[in-house]
Amino acid sequence: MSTNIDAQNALQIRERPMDVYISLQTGSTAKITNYTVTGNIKSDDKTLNRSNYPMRTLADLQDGGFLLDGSAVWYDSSVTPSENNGHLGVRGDIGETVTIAITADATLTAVTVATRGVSTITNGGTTYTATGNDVITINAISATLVFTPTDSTTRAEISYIIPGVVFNITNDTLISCTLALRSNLNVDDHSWEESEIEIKMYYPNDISSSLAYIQSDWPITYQAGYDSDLSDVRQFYLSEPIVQEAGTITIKGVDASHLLDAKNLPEQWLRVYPGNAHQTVYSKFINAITSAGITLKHQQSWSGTASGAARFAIAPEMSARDFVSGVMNYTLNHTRGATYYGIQFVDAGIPTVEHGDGTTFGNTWTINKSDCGDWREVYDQNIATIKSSDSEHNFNAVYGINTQYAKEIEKKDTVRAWQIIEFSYDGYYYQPVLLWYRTDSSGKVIESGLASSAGYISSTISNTPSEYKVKVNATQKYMLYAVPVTQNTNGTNAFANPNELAGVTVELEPFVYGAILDANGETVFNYPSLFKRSLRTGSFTWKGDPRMQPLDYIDINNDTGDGRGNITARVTEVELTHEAGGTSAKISWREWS
Amino acid sequence: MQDSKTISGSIVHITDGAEADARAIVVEIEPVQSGSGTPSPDNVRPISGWESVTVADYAKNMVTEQTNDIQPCFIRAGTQVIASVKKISGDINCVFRYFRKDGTQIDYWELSFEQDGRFWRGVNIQEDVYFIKFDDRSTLTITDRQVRISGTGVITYDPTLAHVATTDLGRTVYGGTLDVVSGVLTVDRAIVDLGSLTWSVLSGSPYGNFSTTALAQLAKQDKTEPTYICSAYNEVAYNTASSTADNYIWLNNNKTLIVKDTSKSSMTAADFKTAMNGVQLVYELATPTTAQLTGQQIELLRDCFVWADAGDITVTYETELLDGRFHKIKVNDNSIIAPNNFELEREDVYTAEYTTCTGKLIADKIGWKYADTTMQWDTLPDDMLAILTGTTGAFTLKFTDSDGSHTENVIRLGVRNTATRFTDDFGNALWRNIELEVSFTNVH
Repeated sequence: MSTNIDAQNALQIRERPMDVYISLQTGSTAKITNYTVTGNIKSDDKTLNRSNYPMRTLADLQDGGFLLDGSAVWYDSSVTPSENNGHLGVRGDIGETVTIAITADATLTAVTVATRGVSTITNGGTTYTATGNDVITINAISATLVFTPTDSTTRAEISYIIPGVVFNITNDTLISCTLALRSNLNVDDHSWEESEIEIKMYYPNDISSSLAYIQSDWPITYQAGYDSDLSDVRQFYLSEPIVQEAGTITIKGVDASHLLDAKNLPEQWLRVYPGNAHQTVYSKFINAITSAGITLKHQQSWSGTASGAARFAIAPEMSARDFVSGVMNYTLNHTRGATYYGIQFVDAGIPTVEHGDGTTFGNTWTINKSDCGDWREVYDQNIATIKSSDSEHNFNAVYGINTQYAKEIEKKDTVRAWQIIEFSYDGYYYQPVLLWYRTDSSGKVIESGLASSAGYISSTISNTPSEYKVKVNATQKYMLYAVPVTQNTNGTNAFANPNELAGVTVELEPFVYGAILDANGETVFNYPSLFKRSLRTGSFTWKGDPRMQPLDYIDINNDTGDGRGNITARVTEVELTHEAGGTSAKISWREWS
Repeated sequence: MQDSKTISGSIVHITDGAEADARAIVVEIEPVQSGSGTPSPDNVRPISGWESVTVADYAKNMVTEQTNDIQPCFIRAGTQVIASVKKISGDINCVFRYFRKDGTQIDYWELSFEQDGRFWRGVNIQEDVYFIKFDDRSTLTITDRQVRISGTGVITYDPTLAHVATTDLGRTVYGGTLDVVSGVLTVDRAIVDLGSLTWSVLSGSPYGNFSTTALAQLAKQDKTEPTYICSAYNEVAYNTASSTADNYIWLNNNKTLIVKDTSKSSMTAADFKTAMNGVQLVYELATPTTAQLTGQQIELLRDCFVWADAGDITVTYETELLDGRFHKIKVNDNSIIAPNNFELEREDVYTAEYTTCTGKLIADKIGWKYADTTMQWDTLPDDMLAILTGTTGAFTLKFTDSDGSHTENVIRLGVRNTATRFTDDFGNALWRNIELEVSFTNVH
């Protein structure tokens, strides 16, 4: 029986349940400062605090001996414990109980213990049935845990005791796991909800009091497939209190994209050279994601050479999520000839940024319509016109400087000639402008001017996104301003669908004010490209594949044999469900041609 | 009435026993000749018989914790064995020896790897092992001997020694059979000292020097196979006596025993008789004799090995009680007659099911279960019906399927009888037309 995901998915009936591996590891402010091991002990390499060291399997005569397949190694106390070497942990004599007293620097709400060959763990008057990975409620600074081996022929082995709660969930304890992996390809509401995971696991020991103390944002990892062919690890973050009811623990998490909501990007000055316009926007796109605290797992590189006259635009204050989704929305359909300028970010537990010609985005899946259930299709009204809701801000604006919107950044009253002025500020997309002024004895400004126009700025020493250094060549009193750009009112206020179909007018807020053009004279944020977006969307039930990502391409084969009715689409949401050993998915899509 | 089976071999492996006493364990007693090579006056190979026979049945791996003595066991060739000895005092070097069925040593290991206060070693067994032994060295005090076995997959060590039974034969037996269960000893071979027989000089024959008719009434003859073995002469069949070969013994067409030993051609019959003192001949009796010894009950495990120290054995045993197709099932560990035509069907268990737009079922197969069924009995005794009606909700059903015994959790959906209670010719209360509808809950 093949344990390859593709081979199993090719079957009408998958021959074996998909393996699911989920891990949640929480921490604790309290730290265990001392472990005291008593009882008849065979080994103790003092590594009970190491949850990342795997237990070595020893050539040991306990419990019927060991396999001679190379998996067991001789006992060797000289091997340094490590992630690679593994460790011995604490191992009792065969059939003997092991007692470990722990002391912490503060109250421990709970500890997680990993064991082998243990039947029960006792803490005071409470006895827990050991499953190999168990949460023990402590609620004290110290505790004494007694580990009883499975039987008289077995050795109690304790790998680690660490503060907090660690769940390693497999099919053995998993009741259900539902993932909602999301993106969005809507025209007028292009932001997307964060991806979510909900796990229900069987856990008979009542640890609800320990779970109540767990804070949000602890990492949850998810992986599924078959042991020889597993999906990439997805990472989510605990988003709600863990609940235990009737032996079932429910864990909910969201992907890292939730951090985009909390990150506010101030009004930004975009200075872009046509030669590398797309690459510059891509760089700012990545910057917005990473500045929100998201660590990208995959990042496609894209570099270009600056050339041509710089163009400018203002991106209004917005959340990082709006900025990221806006960049995607106005570039994903952007093509010129055979060149594709799409920029995309997909999280769903695997934060990835990509660009390119369409073939580099994720996977392409071929799915026969005859393998799909609950087939639904929806057609939106045709978009006839895209127009701005703000008549002053047409889409095709060019830049200008309006000093009336200047923001004072830093006031320098005693700047000497040639003194280097250093300043930094959050609104790093602003263009720095130095104004000089003179005051009378009462402090009233009697003369002022734009330093740059008066030649007072001799050079820009450095120009990083968050810091500028300028130098003045005369002793004056200066005020340092950052001056936003605005736009004049040339251009059109709306775009009409060249197909001239009857339909609705979609009103959009300008994403940025001002046109950023590439070397071809095309706007990088291409509003008319929205007309290329198909109005055809739908959803269907499918077998499910843990590797599928939002925005992946799907070639839906209509099974006519001549290509008629085939659909090329992109995934907007995958709702993947593992339950009772089975796996299925509801996939939402938008046609993409 | 139970079904029974009969299996023969040097080691009998029973996999479908009824966990009942063996009906018969017939041990073939064969003479044992020591030494090797062709027997001759220069290569005397003494013959010995059996004074007792030991029969044992073991669970799958026939190894127990050992004492200093040679211990019987059975380790199949291809098994991986780890032997270990716990040292208390003295120097190292304990030797673990293992032997063939005839008692010859196959090999030995010096347990030289010290770890954790023990000396141990693991080796692949290349040949069936019947005995093992630990040797103590003079400066070593050793306790806690262990031999453990690992399979290539699941560890199957099971130290269970189920039963050992030794039957004292009350005599030395050189051939025959012993049914350990019934105690019936059949002796079909006897031994004779050739020096006790009256010999005649055989003149002019190229096929022998001396002959005797002393065994004419006793010995059985097979013209193609020798039915006798001798400690000092090569035994040959009637039709293989040779004019050129020397030092052999054979029984001719008239059951005259003839010895050809040209080195003794000049001897008189009396001198030859004297020279034959101590030369053993074991021959097959024309008429076997029987004796009634004390029989022994040998309870066999459902899955076990049975073997004897004497020779090949033939075991007749009751087969598994729980063969649903023919015999009995267990409801909550209570035996009742199996239902009519009790053959359960297995069905795949699917999850994540959905139906495609073309009506095709898509799903994940997560295992199989027994299909829900209605068990029917034409007749059940009163007490067995009470077992059925005594079930409430979930209960266990134990039965034998094509791949072995199974215990399943089932839910009783309904029990029905037509209330036709009657009494049979022997006064037993019986019920007719019983039906029990059950749903199986275990998924495999």
